[in-house]
Amino acid sequence: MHRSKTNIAVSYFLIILFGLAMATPFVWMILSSFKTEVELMQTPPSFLPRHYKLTNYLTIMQSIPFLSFYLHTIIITVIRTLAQLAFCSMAAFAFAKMHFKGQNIVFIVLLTVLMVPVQMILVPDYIIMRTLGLVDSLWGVALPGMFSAFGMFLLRQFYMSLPNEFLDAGRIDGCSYFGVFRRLYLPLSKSALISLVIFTVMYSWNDFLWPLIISSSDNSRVLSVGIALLQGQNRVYYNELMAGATMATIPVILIFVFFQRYFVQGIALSGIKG
Amino acid sequence: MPAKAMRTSFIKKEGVQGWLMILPNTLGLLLFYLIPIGWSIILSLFKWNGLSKMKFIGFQNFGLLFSDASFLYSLRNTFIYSIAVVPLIILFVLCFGVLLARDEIKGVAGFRTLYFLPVMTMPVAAALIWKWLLNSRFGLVNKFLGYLSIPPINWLTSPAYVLPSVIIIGIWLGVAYDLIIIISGMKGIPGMYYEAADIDGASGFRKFFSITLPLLTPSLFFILITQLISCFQVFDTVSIILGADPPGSLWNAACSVVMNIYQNGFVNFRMGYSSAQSFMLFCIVLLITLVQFKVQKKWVNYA
Amino acid sequence: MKKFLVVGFLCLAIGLSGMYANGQSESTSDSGKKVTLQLMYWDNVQKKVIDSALAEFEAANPNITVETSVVPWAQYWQKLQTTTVAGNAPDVFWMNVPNFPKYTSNDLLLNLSPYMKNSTTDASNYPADLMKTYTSKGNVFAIPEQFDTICLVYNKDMFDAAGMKYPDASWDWNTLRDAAIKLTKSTATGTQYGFLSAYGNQSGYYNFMVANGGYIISDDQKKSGFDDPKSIQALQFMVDLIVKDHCAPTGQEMVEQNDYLDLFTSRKVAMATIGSWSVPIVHEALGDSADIAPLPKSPNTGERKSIIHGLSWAGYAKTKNPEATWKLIQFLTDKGFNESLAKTAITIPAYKGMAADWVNAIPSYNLQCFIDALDYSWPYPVSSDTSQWESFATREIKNAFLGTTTVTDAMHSIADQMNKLLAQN
Repeated sequence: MHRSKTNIAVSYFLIILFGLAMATPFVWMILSSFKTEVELMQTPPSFLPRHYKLTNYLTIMQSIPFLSFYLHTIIITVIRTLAQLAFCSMAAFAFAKMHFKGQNIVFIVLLTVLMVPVQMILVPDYIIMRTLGLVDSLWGVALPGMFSAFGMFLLRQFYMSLPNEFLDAGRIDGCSYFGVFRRLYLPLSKSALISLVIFTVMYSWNDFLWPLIISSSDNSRVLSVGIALLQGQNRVYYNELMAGATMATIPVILIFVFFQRYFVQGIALSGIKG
Repeated sequence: MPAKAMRTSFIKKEGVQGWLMILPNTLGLLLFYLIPIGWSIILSLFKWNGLSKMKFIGFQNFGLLFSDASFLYSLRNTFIYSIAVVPLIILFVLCFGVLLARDEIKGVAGFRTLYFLPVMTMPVAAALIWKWLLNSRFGLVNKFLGYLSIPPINWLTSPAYVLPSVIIIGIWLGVAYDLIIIISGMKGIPGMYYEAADIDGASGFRKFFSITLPLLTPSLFFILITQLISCFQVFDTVSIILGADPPGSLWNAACSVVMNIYQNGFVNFRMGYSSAQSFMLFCIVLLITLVQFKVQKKWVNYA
Repeated sequence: MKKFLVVGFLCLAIGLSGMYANGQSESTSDSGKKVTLQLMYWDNVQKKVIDSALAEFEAANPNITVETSVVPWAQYWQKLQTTTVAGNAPDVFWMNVPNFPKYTSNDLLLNLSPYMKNSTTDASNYPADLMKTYTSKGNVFAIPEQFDTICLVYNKDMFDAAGMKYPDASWDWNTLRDAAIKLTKSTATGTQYGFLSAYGNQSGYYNFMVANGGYIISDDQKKSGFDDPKSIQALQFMVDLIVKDHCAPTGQEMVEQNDYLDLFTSRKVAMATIGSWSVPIVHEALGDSADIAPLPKSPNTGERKSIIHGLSWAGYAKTKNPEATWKLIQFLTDKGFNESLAKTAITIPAYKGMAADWVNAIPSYNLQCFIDALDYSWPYPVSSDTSQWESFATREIKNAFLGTTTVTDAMHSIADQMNKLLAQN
C-alpha cells in the first residue's frame, strides 16, 4: 500500500513538472495577448502583463471578419473530419483484414504521399482546382484534406491488432466484408477513431498554406490565414497576433478535452475474446 | 470440388470488395497528391523560375546537388536531427504514456491537455518565447544551468549549439500527437490480460514489459514510421530558431533539407532545382520506410 | 513501370491544361459589359482606405466590380507566382522593387506607357528614383503607391543625460562614432550602447556603402559592388563600431533579438538608422523622447545617401480587361487616393506634395527628414534574381557582424557568388 502511494506521488510530480514545461509557451501566448506591443517587444521580455487589457481582442475583431472566418474554418473542419473518418476507416480495414491483389504495393504508394513536402504540390493542386472550377470556394479549400494517408495508416495499425475471429464469425452469418467492418470492427475501433478525429481537427484547424493559396477573397477565407494578415512586411502586430491565436485555439482545446475523455479501457474487447 | 469453387469465387469477391473499400481514399490521394508529386518529379528535369518558359535540362539539377554545400549540410543536419529526435520522442511518450493512461490519477484528463498544448501554440509565439528562454544573457534555461554552476551557453548563436536547440524544440513540439496514439493504444489493451497478470502476482515492470509493450508494438511501429517521415521533413522547428535569413554559419549548422527546398523553390524561385532536392529527400525517406516495413516482421506483434 | 507511365501522362495532361488556361485568358471583353477585377495586396493596415477608395471607384464605374484579397506578406510572392502559373493572377496587384525585374522580364506586367500617354497620369508626379526602378526598356510597368527612405533616430533622454548636442545635418561618421563612444556606459540593467550598428540592408549597410562612394550592383546589373574597396571600407566602419570601439551591441546580441530594433525601442541604445516605416513603433515605445535626424555623411566623400524603396500598383499582362485594369490602376495612383492615404498617416504617399499629412502626424518628430532624403536618395539595388543574392549577402554580412568571418572575406565571398549568379543571365 505504501509503495503504491509513493508511486502515485512520483507520478503526480513528473506529470505536473513536465506538463508545466510543455504548457509554458502556450500560457505565455495567452498572457501576451493582454500586453501592449511595446511591452511585448521589450528587452528582456516580461512574463505577466503589467495591465490586463482587452484592447487587442477588440482591435482584432474590428480589423478582420473574425466570425465568418470562424464559420468557414468550422465547416471545412467538419467536412474533412467526417470524410476522413469514413474513407480512412474503410480503406484501413481493407488493407488490414482483407486480401486482394496488389494491396501491398498500393499501400506503400499511398504512403509516399507523406514523403514529399506540401510545398511541392501546391502549384499542381491549384491548377487542378482551377480545372474543377473550385478556386475560392469552401469545397476547394476542403477537398485535398478529405483524404489522408496518415489516417489510413493509423487505423490500419489498429485493425491489424484486432483479432481475426470476428471475420469468420461474420462470414458465417452471411455478412459481406463491408457488413463485418461496419457491424463488428468499426464499433471496436472507437478510441482509434477518436485519435483520428483529434488529428484531423488539429490539422484542418491549423492548415494554412493551402487555404491561403486557394482562397482569393473573404468568401472562403479561414482563420489561420486571417490571423496571418497581422504579420506585415515591416511590422508584426505580435500582441494582436497572440490575441487572435488565443481566440482561434480555444475551440480546439475544448474539442480535445471533450473527446479524450472517451479514451477508455477496451471493455468491449476483453469480454469477447475470452 | 464445389468447395474449392466456392472459395475462389469468394476470394474474387473479396478482391472486388477490397478495392471498392479503398477506392474513395485512393482516388482522392491519387488526384490531389500522387499526380502533383509526379508533376514535381518531372519538374526536376527542367530549369524553371516559376514564371519563365520551362527549359528541359535533363539531370543537370541532380548533378548540382552534390556540389551544393548548403544541400549537403542540410542532409547532414536532417540526419542528426532525426536520429536524435525519434528515439527521444519514443522514450518520452512511452514513459509519460504509462503515467497519463493511469485513471487512478485524479484529473489525468486535464493533465493530458497540458501535453497537447505545444501543437496549439502559434509558431510565431513559440519562436518568440523560445528565443527568450534560450537567450544567452537573460534566458531562463541559462539561469537554471547557472544554479547548477554550468557556464552560460550560446544556444542561439553558436554553431555548435543551434542544432541541439532545434532538437529540444523538436521534442517539445513532437510528443503531443504520439502521446495521443500511445494513450489510445494502451487503452485498447484488453483489461483481462492485466487481471490475469495480477492473479499471477506480476510486478508493474513485469506487466509493462510482458503485456503493455508487446501489445503496443503496432502503435510504436506507426509512431516510428510517421515520426521518421516528419523528422526528415522538419521545417517549423528549425525556422523557430533560425528565422528567415540567419547568419551563414548558423544556417550551415542547423538548416534542414526542407528549409533548403523552400529557400530554393519559393525564395529564389529555382523550382526545378528544388524539385530535384525534394525527389532526393523522397527517395531517402522511401528507402528508410521500406526497410522499416521489412524489419517490422521481427518485432511488431499483430493479432 | 506501367503505373509510372500512367502517372506521367496524367501529369503532362495537367501541365498542358495549365498552359492552355494560360492562353485562354487572353480574350478581351467589350467595354460595355460588366467586368470583375481581382485586386491583391499585402498590407492589412491599408485595407480601410483601399476599401473606401474602391467603393468610390465602383460608384464611378458601375460596370466594374472589384474583388479584393489581402495576402500575408510572407506568402504574397508564392501566391502571386502560383496564380500566375495557372494563368489566374489578379488583374491589379502590389509590386515591389526586388521582384519587379523578374515579372517584367517574363512579360507578365501590363505595359502602362501607352495608357499613360492618353491620360492625365504624369510620371513626374512620383519620385524619380522610384519611377526609374519601375521602368523597363523605356516603358512604365508599375506606378508607385508609397515610398520609404532612411534616417537616423536618437533617444533625446540619453543625449540630455550626457549633456550632449543632438545629431544634426553636419554630422559625419566620425561625429557619430565619437558621440556613440561617449553615450556608451554600463547601467543597472546592462550596457547602454551609443549606436545600433545593425545588419539590415535597406535600413543599414546599403546606405553606408553608397554614401562612401561604393555601390551594391553596377548599373547594367552585371557586376557586384560588394568587393569595391569603398563598400568594404563602409562595412568595416560599421563592424569596427562593435568590435573596436565597443559602442554598439554585439552581433550576438542582435541575432538573439527577435528584431534588433527592439534594442532601441527598449532604451538600450541611443541612436539607430531606421526606415520611415518604423516611425510608428518608435513613437509608441518612446513617445516624445525620440527624434529624427538625417543620416551622417561619409567623411571620405562628404556625402550622405538614403536608399529609397516604394511599392507600386501593377497590372497583369494577360488580364481579360486591360482597359478596366488601367482605369483601376490610374484611380489608385491618382491624386485623390493619395490624399486619402495621406490622411491615414500610415505611410508616405508617392504622389508629389502629399507628404505633409504624414509629416505632421507626429509634430514632435522632425519627420521632414524622410522627405528631404528624396534629394539624396539612391534607388534600391536589384537584378532579375534579387532575392537570391540578397539572401546569401544577408547571411555573409551577419557572419561578419557575428565575428565568424572578417569583413573583407565576407564581402569578397558575396561578390564572387553574386558575379557568378549575374553572369548566368
